[in-house]
Amino acid sequence: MIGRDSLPAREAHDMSFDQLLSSPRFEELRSRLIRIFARRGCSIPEDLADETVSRVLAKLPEIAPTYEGDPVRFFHAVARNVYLEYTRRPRTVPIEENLDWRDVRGDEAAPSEVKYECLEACMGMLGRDDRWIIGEYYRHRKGAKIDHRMELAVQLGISINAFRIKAYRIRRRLQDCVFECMKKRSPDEMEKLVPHSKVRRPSL
Amino acid sequence: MTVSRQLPSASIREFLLGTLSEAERDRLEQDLLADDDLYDLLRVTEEDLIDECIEGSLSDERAESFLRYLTALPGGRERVDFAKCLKTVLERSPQETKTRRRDILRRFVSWLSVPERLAWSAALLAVAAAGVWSAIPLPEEGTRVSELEAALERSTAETEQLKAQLSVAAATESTSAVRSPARPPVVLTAGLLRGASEMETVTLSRGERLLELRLDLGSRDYEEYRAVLHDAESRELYAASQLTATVAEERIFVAFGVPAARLANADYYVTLEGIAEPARREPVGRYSLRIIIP
Repeated sequence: MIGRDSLPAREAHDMSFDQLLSSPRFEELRSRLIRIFARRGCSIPEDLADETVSRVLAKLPEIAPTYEGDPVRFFHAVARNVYLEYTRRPRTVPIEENLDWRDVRGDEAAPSEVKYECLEACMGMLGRDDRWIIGEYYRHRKGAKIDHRMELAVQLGISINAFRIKAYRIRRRLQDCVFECMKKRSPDEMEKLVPHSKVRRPSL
Repeated sequence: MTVSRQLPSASIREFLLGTLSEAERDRLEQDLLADDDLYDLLRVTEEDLIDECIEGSLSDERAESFLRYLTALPGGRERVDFAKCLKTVLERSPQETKTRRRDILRRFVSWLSVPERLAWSAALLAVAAAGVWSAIPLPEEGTRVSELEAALERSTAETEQLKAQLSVAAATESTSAVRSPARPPVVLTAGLLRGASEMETVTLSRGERLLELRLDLGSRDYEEYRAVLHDAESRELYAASQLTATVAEERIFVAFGVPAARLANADYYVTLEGIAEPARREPVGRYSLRIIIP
């Protein structure tokens, strides 16, 4: 029996095809499909997600008026077919797939100093409470970290998953801030590579 | 009333590590498409697994399976990079953090021109006067429950406030595209007899996922609208119901998002109908557009 952690229930409701395919729900649906294809080991998950949506859209005039049940199931069935067709295609390996995953994991792929600077600047921009939560959430390592999170969640009277989601959202905000900062700092990186290409720095 | 429900954390973890049976994976995939809470939890678990990969607490086999999945996602590698960075920064001692912040500030100041330095000095003085930076003590070791409770309460209130602001913004600005595409929405004006020369031309780039159209109304006569995209042969390609009129920039319009995957190099038109009663639709306008995909 798989353990299940509780979260307050959101209202259960089936979305219509129109709702699923309209913004902003569309992007959300697409990213879920991308994850499904990626987990099935597909090397082009984005293309396959688009293919799925495209096929559903093509079928819509025919099926939508009489379709009964959750449209999500229809999407899943189409995604499964797209996947099966993908597995039958001649296999081409994108260049990225030839990269060693250990490079991603290992210390040799350490983040650049600029990224550290951006992260520290972004941490400074977090509210006091959020900085405190993220500090506590990532305190300790391995087993001790899990125990610490459980303790905090219990003492706060919220489920561990609610606490995890809260910390995740702060982390995502930090991450977005860092990516934004890196974009702004890219002229600096250029300056390091090409020392005489001095570009006026944008403000942090 | 809030009802608590159960989420399969362990299954999500196994899904991400690629160890679920095919039947279980199929079931979880369907749930992921339909269940927002479950999808939230999946993303949280992804971050946990990234951390575990970096810490080396996952076996090589599991780490490889997960990292292959992650790097197939857009931005996957950058997320690993960010996690390494976050781990390092959070593990620094408070003294080291202070020294580094000072270094960053010093370097930042050295990049600025004299007027910019003066402007920044004034801004920093204002911030210092408000006591925002200096009044933040770093948390001590140990669990300070009451402080954390208060923090969580304030943070939750902030989230609620932001949600409310977002709803207001969505209601007043646009009924669609909260995560807006890169291009501004395309405004279309109704015209039954518009010729090809008057047609609005939209150039779509390859990376675009959604084309946001604003169908100009002139007046708001219905509570609800239905928009249908047609090709030049009048075939219905895509429809959206339960649309509402929105006012922004002194215009009244209906926002209609069309997945770019549905469009090709061709001429299209959109018909807009007002829903007078559940079973009665009345034509409101016809909007033409030409799509160009270079």
